[in-house]
Amino acid sequence: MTRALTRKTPWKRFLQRSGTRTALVLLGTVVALSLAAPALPIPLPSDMNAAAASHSPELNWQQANSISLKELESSHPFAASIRRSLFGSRELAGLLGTDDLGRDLLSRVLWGGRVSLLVGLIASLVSALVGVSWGVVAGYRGGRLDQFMMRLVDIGYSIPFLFVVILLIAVLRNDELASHMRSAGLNRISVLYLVIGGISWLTMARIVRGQVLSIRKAPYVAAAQALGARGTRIVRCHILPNLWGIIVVYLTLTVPRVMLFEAFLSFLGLGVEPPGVSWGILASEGLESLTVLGVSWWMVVFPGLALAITLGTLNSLGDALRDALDPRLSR
Amino acid sequence: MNGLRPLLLRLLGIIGIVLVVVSVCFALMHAVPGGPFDDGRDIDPATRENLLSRYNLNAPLSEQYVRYLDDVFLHFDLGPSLKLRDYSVNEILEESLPVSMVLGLFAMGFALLVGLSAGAIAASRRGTWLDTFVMGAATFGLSVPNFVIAGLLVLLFVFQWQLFPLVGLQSAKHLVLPSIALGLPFAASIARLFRTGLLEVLGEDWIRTARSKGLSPRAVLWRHAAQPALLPVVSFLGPALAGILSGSLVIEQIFAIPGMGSHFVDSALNADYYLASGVVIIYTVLVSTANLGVDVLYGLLDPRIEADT
Repeated sequence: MTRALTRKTPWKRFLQRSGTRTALVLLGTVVALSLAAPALPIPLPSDMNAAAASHSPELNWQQANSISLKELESSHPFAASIRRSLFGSRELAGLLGTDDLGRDLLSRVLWGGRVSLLVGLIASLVSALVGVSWGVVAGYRGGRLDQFMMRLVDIGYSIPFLFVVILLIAVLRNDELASHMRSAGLNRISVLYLVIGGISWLTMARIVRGQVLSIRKAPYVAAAQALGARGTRIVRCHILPNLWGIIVVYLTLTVPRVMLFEAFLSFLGLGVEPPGVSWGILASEGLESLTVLGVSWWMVVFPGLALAITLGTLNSLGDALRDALDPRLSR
Repeated sequence: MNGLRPLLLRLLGIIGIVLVVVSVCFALMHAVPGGPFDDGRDIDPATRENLLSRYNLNAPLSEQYVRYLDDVFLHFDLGPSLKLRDYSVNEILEESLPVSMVLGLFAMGFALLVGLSAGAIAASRRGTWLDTFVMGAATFGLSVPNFVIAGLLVLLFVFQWQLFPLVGLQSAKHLVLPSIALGLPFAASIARLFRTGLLEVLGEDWIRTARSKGLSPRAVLWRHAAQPALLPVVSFLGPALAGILSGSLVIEQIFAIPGMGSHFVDSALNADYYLASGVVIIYTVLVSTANLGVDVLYGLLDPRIEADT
């Protein structure tokens, strides 16, 4: 890194980095389309149409199925009304092709995106909550407690969580345990949030603790202590505000990791369960569709593209944010 | 003898980690109502009684725990497989572990070959379109899940051009596509690390000296800059190995390779808890020893670093 550091705000450095704007636009498009999926004139992801099974991508502007429209109206009334006023009762079917049951792939990718993005976001927030609290407590308290807590983090790094989580999920598939969980208000997908979030906080804890250690020694913290401020107040008013930048950076970098994890689990049949859709499930269906009898290339390419664009842009935006905020951290 | 102490401490640490993992596995197995043998189906009461007495499941939990620890640590016995009856977990792993190791080594070899070449090309052509292209591809490759890569490879090389067979493990040719799919994301990381390392080293004084005595750029790169620039790559090898082994869970599934990963996924889906725990334990041992090996290698490559981990 020989480039001279000019006096620019981090936000400007971020925006001026090559590729940042493209990444923002790409990510924004995927996220916006997924969020808007119920209001878009496309079939429902579960609509089967035997007449149009395994069709390659084509442009069809056709009359929508009235039963699915009713279904949409009862599940997403607001989006359905927008859709009706904008597009009437017509829809775009098969733009990205259909699967072997005649379900519309575009619709499945967008609705699956809602699930994948939501899992990514919530699990990352869970991980940030745990990681930040852990790091702040360890860094602020210091001493023996700090050493103990960081030792636990070190141990955590050596535990193969992917495997342990798969074992855990296998255990939770047991009918009796599953019904216990349901009565405690935890369905499959919230278990997924908690489990994935619960194992992805180690890096956040380490980074936050390092920052807190240095902030703790700052004169303004000493001043606050001298004035008799209590620990919680110092953390809330003096330490947390200085941590937001780093938290946002590592949150951005956690989201793609967590989404990858969800895709991985769903791909193996251990994550989101059909009839639910997520990008991991679609990727797995795509691979299954490749047989000697027929090759539905669109079922491999489009879900893969959605995953690649989202994870790729999130990773590069996270890197860019980190470099912009603190050039010393970049490697 | 001072050099041995840290090594011994690390070994103790590994044993500690394995102990933690074994305990977690045991706890999870026995969290299932009815114990690990209850798979929801009704089995013949006599068989059930047989199983219970054979695996000591009527004993108090603490006794079973001690017994499991004793089996795992002192007898290296990981227990019976619950679904592949008549096979012990040890027998299954003896067959499947070498398969996964070969696949993992191929993938690692591919990642190193492609990653180091790409990193060297990008660093020596710094700032050109080639550099931008290689690094762009690396950033992209880093983020694409291996099953997506596998899907594209299968689409192109199995169905479009029919160059490679899809499933099974009859010849080395069967390992080409799985190794690429598994190794590519790590090739991307290695390329980025090696490029950064090289660029840092290329700014040093001794490189200028090497250049000024008339060495060709290639000789400067490989003879003088490569070794120190390899350090970040070496420290990445531990995580890379862990990643490759966990990646093989899906890759083995896709290409129907009878390795440890596909056994693990099947065992998880079929509630074969001893087999699943066995794989978790073996994986932990593999990854922690590999990490130790990498650290030792790191110390050998860079004498400035004391092995004080």
